Amino acid sequence: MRDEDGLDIEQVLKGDYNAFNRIVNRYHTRVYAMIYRIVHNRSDAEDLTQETFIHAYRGLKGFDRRRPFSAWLYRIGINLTMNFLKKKSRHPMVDIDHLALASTKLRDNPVRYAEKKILLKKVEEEMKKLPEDLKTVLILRVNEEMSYEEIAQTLGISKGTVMSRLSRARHKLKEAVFGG
Amino acid sequence: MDERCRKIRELLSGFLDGELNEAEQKLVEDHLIECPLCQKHLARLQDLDQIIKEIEVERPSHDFHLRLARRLKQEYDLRRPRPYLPFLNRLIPLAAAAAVIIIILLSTHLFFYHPAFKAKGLKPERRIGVTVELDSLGRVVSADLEHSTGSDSLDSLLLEKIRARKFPHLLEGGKGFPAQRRLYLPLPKDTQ
Repeated sequence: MRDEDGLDIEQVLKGDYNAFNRIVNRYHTRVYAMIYRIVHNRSDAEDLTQETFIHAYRGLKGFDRRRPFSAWLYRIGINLTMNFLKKKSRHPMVDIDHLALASTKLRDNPVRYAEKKILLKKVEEEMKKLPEDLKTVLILRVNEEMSYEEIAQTLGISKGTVMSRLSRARHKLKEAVFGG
Repeated sequence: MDERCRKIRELLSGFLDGELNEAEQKLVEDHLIECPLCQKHLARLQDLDQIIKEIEVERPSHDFHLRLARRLKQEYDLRRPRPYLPFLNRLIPLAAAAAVIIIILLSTHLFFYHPAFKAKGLKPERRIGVTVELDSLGRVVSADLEHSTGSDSLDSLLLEKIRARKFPHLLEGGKGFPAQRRLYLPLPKDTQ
């Protein structure tokens, strides 16, 4: 656990609410981004991010401080997101026009830019089709750059399961985007 | 794709992340040197990771942070410790119980221990009601037993005792005379 997390948690438990605001400021962008990548909807991601911090605040007394705080926080966010998706009859369609594309260098090369745009859309669409358990592991690894051990702790699964889910996620995606 | 390539490809994801053990790592490295197809497969997996990273997350709405801060403030206020509240909360049932006891005692006292009924401890059935009319000084103008004791002589005796007494304290708040009041008298033990 980061030292600053530990100190702030101590302060929150003593009744210092500003300390929790510091925690929120430290993590809200990452939590929002992680949830957004799963739900593909800004409004839902905002609501779920908010709920994640409310749940974290309420449950802070029960947090085992020997474990990484970020993993605990992410787990709350992921559980809330999974429950949210289960309740939804169908997943929302995503407006993909917002996709920002690569670097200025690509913009300087219109052909490359168009190719890249198509590829990004394709990958995003295929990501949406992945089962939630595979997609979540992939996001935590690729976007959050967590180690297998951290992912295992966050999701409460074994390292072996993390490895096999990641392998399946990548191969499914690779086959869908580039073919077998 | 032969069986060897199939097995190696199962390990490529872990290889990409540097999460294989030493033996697996060496196995994959040795295979990659001699297998261009698996090299290409690995390159595709790397490309995918890169593309996934480039998929941009839509920025939260401009007031998201404000809404989040407001919602958290509500939560803080809701859970702010209130030092006197638990104390008061504990007092509420105690106060309610005390009120019930007081009401019971008070009504019992009023019912069983009317000022005219001095024989404390007597049960209701061991006494007799008497209706009296009092003049302005509390003297008994007339008295009637609620019912007979079963003995004419005892009835007379009780009425005689009542008429011999004064009850000025029963006149408080009354208007007009003679004032009608109701009393209870203990019955002698041999009549129980």
